[in-house]
Amino acid sequence: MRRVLLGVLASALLLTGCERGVHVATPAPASEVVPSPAASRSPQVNLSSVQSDLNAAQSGQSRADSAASAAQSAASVDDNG
Amino acid sequence: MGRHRKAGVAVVAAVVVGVGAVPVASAAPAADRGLAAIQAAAAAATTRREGSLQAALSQVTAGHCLSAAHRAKVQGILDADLGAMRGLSAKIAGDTDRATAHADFRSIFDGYRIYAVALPQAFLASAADCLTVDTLPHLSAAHAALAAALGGPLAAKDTPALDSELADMATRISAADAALTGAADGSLGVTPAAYDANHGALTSYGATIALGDSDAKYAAADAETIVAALK
Repeated sequence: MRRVLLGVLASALLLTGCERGVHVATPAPASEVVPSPAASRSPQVNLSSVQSDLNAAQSGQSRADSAASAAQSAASVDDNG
Repeated sequence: MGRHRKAGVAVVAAVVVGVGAVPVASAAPAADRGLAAIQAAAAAATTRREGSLQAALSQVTAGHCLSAAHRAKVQGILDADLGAMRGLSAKIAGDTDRATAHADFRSIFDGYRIYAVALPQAFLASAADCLTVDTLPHLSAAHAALAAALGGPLAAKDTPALDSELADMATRISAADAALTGAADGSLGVTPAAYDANHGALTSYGATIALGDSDAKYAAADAETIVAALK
């Protein structure tokens, strides 16, 4: 029960922290954005390429969300671990 | 920024932060059972775990997110546990002593923590890698392209509000990267013993992954706002 309450509390804290401008972590300066193969290519003004990147980013997030949900489902199995 | 994003962020945060927070009772009470009952319970428990592990192996290793090193680590954990469950199943079925069978039965839970550790850590690592290997690089690319556009060909459409969105996007990407750094390795480093000592051992990783996920979503929303204004 205590752990359930802690989980609820943690969720509440995290959700509060998700409000814009209220960050738990200290963000690094924009200049420290980690370079990546995708980021290192020449920036293009073509907005369709931006949209393609955003679609790909969203695809990764969808897979991340599915994996996170699977993690929660496994941890929720009430079978003594 | 698209405020509608917050609902989705909240859902993900609530889902991920709960990992490891579910209370786990002591090992299934079979001490007062007879040998046959223990063997039957053990068969059910190991069969269930074998099915879950095999499903997870298919899901996690077939995905495109895990880095090669993390994929190997996850596969090693799940394969080892799968072998252990098969071994325990056979051993307990052949046990002729109730006390031995009971000790073996308890080890199904205490020794491996399949549902409390192995499976969640595999999926958490996958979630972290989906964000770091896939999502953040694309967001960084989008940010670079938008910065170039606003600073060059589309400068006439630039506004302080768009500059603010762009700056926030960069901050969110950096914050997500910072939150996610080490999350996959950390979650994969949690052992059943560590979990027994601290049932919240995986929770902190789930929380940081949720934080990185929400920052990435905000960064994407920033980008969408800018793109919409530039069209």
